[in-house]
Amino acid sequence: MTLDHADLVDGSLVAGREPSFVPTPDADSAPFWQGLLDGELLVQRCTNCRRLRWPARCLCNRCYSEETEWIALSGRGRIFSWAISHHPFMAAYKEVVPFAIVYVAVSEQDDIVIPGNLTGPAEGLACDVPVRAVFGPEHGNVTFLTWRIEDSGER
Amino acid sequence: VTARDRAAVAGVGYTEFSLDSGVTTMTLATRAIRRAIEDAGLSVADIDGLATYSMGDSVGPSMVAPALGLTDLSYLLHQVGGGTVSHGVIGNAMLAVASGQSEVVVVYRALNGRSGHRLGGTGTGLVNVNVETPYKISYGLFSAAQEFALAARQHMVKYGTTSEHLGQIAVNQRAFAVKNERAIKRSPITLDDYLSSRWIVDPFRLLDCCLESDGACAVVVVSAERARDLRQHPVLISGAAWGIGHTMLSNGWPDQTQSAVIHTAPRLYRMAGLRPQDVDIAMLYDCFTYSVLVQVEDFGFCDKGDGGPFIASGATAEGGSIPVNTHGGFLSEAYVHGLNHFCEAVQQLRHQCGDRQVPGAQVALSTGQPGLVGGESSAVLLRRADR
Repeated sequence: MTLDHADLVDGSLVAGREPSFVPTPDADSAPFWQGLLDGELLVQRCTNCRRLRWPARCLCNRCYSEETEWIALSGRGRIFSWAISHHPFMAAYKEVVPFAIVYVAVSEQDDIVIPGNLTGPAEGLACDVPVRAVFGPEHGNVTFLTWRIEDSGER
Repeated sequence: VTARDRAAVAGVGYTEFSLDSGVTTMTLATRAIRRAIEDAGLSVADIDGLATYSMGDSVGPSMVAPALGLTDLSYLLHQVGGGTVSHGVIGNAMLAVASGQSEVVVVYRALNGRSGHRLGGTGTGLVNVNVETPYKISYGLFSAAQEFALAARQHMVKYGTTSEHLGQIAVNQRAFAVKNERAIKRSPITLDDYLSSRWIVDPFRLLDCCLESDGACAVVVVSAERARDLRQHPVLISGAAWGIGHTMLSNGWPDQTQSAVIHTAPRLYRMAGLRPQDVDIAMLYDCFTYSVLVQVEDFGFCDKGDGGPFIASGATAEGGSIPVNTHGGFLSEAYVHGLNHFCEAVQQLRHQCGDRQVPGAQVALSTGQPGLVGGESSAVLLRRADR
């Protein structure tokens, strides 16, 4: 695989770039988006069985309880999978290719997989590499989640 | 009582496949339907059921029926969805016929997928409403190519699958397409051509990705008894199965090297009373090369993880033990969202495929998207009727 990671456009320039894609929080997801604005990665925890879930929704898919609390994760995880988009697919992304798309499995419960972009140096990008949540960039009233490789020497 | 072998395919119809049809989806749909009816030796007035699926990019039965002068249908279905549901709609037609609800159901799919709405692409914009969508698209993740690439990466890491393995799928299918006059891409390609094609979304190159095309296909489903007296050799629908796998919402996504087919395949084989080794040919949904690779494993043609070496051995190529996508698939024939796969399977079992005919083919598998995007999956097993 010939890939020059130095060519990758930083995820802070990718995330949230298309204004019409900036999410409109709904009754289920509003606390998650508010959490990002506040610098916290919030997921739901079932009050009954304690299972974590994300994305937000009204019931636990294990015990069907609708009783929920929101908890902040550590922001640590590992690369579940990654791909490099060389083709922009949509006009707004033409100026930011190639960029990395990552799926991150969070450290608290590894069946929670969060999509995002990579911020900072991409050297060492591979499955299972540890990453940490970065809160930004901001667009309008939304803060987007990006991810930084832990071992990149950039904290 | 099951619907096994109680419904049959009596006819198939195609429009021309192109990059710019210059006509509406209504034109494509009605042409394909009329050709399928003619192929079956029936008349349009015999139709009493119409079924299709779309992403909001095509005409439904409520518009097609009046355009064909049909006023008394006993069965109409317009399923929301794309490749995931393609073979489920055929399964629904099977159920409608087997239950006696309808006698002649036509399933069609018509789309201007290149000149009109391009799925996940840069053309006119329809965004599928999905709870997960807001968490993806802002990160530039909105194409099935990207999601399949993320899945393929995991297979490469876990099982050592290589670009050459993926490339061999594209090369094999092009070799079949050379012999298919309907195919849009008919120039042979080599593994070097594959490896030197440009990156779309690493690990996928251009030649990993399906065509975007304009066109339509239609299929006539009748009872097995009625099919015996019609023009074509009947092809029985021995099994149809639906499945649901994992998405972000399911909180149960152990890895993406398995598809929803692990749920669909056992039900499908059980309903049909068949095993993987009974299948002579397979038309496997190939939006991207990896979709074929994961399906040869999950439908049981080789062990889990061995898809790459299995394909490299020639097993899925012409003359192999289980030829795959003898029409060239979405990679080389055209992208008709699964129905062109089904129509090829039917024609192979009717032994009408000329230079690319698999000699003596008796049993065919035809599949929809394996659920790596959207979670849903569907597939059908077909058997050439004894006559």
